Amino acid sequence: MENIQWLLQGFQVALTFENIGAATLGAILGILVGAMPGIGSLAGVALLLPLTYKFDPTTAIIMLGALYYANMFGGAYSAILINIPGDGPAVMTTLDGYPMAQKGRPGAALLVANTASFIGGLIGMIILTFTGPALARLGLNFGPVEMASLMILAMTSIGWLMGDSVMKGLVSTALGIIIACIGMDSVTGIPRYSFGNIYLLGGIPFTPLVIGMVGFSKVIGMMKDRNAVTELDMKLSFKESLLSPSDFGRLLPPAIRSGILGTFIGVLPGAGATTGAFAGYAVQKKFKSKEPLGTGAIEGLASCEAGNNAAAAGAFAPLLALGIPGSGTGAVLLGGLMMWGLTPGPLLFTEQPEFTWGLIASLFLANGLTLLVAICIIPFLVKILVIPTRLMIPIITTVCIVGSYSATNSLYGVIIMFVAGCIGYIMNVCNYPSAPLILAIVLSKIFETNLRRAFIISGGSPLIFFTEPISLFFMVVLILLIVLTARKKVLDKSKI
Amino acid sequence: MKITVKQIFPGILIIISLFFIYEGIVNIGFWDGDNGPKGGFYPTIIAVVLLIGSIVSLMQSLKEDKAEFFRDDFKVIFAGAAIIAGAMLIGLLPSIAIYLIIWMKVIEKMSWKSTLIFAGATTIIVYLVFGVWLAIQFPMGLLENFL
Repeated sequence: MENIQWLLQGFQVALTFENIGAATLGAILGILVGAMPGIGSLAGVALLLPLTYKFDPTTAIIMLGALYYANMFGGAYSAILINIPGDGPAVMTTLDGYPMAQKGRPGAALLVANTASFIGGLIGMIILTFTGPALARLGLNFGPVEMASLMILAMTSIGWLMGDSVMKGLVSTALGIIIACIGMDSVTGIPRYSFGNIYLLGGIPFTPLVIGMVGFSKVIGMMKDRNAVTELDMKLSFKESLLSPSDFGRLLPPAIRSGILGTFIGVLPGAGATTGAFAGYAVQKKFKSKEPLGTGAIEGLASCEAGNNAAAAGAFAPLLALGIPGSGTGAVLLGGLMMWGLTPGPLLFTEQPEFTWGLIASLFLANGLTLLVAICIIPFLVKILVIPTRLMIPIITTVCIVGSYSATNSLYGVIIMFVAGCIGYIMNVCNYPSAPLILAIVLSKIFETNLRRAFIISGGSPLIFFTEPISLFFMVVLILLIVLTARKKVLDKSKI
Repeated sequence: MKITVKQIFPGILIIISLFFIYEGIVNIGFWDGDNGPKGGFYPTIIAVVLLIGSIVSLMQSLKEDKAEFFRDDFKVIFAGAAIIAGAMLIGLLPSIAIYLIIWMKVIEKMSWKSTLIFAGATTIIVYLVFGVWLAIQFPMGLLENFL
């Protein structure tokens, strides 16, 4: 009951004119950027991050939450209408979304996806309301040893094991930490690796770095597709998009099932929205559908969309309660929260309850607002999706430059963005993932502080990570993850 | 054997990690007998991980296909560098406006009318959102001395 009271207080914080306006703006921009194929939620949230500077911290965080959440909605549009997933989780959406659109029901397919996303997200947020504080209470028992081992587990599971190459993920993670070490020692405040440069002394600014790494690098890579023309020969209207009671009856059970499953998947470090969508769809295969899955079945579309949005909401539990983001996009969001003075972790729920519950309440608000915006935007989607890449390149380049300038009020930010963009581009070409690097930058300072404290406690012995019970548990999970991943990769190779 | 960016990138990372290890141990300090880890402790450990990872990646890259670059990609990089240089001379907004005009006219070969409408509209929106709404003071470069 206490959680519900806090949530109601959160709504008092969230439901002001300015906050509703910021959440609506976040929902509109998030949906538009998420809908554009090729940009994706990671670059989308990074590019829109500077827009939050206008607001006070609470409003900025509410807008960030809405941006993040609306991006998840938008990713499905291009998957349904042109068979190009806007982001990773939308890959599963193409399986039934595109065939349903081809059957002459594109508007209904969009509304099924939106409604299922809303239901999945709502379930995720209700579970977050109850599990978040419980997870934080558990986290209060964590000392430096436990926190350091949890960070290692998070960075390992998200960083190395999710991509195609374990070694490249590891290199990307280590490079991110090295970059985060430039500036001042977070424990003693002594300068390191700054070469006496006054700018480097303050460290590498997060927003320009992320804009460059995922935004500018992407725009460089878009050049090869700049003459591609998206043909979309269909008309969408609100009237034709309406769902019949029978359609709604078909989408509800899979949406609820995937909503619950996706939330728990979202809580696990490393298993983000893509896994949520995949698991939701896989479970739906075991249930009866009116049409076979893969042929435009409402059940299939609803199951993966609800799964991915529920996982996105569920990922907020470890992000807020333990400071562990579940994905690259989560890491950008976490970086944004930290920029606004919010330090996610076990103490967050007790020390900054207005902030925390305001954010959770704003997610409920964003979920509803995004559904409304999504329904209103349906008739205009055809025009949004056919914006030529050759127009998007100069627009995104401009946003990258102006956004990184506004983050630092100095051309230093633009230079950082430019260099990070070039490095990100080379990493993309050489198949090094950039998400682990961003995650490592965000987590590095907290990890270092806890790691050094752990070593002070143990007098320099790494054995402490295996003698404390909670830390031992994380280490066993870590070793199991590494062994199972290595085994899977060997098996996959032997199949080839 | 031809050396490509797939070997050059981990090669540069090896040099960076060696530098971080050297600085961490020699100049910043790794461990203090009484107080435990010093400022160089954490970056040195991570740099060792980066060094090992980069060496393995370098060896793996020898078996991989050549990295594919597209010549047009460099136009965006060149444009980015030109905007930064331009911002130092004539200010950020004017250099963005000039970039948009040159890009749309020369690279995308649009008509003058479309180019000017596109460049003008984008610059005005950028000014309204960032300059007016977010109250960002754009740099004016050397022009500031004359205005």
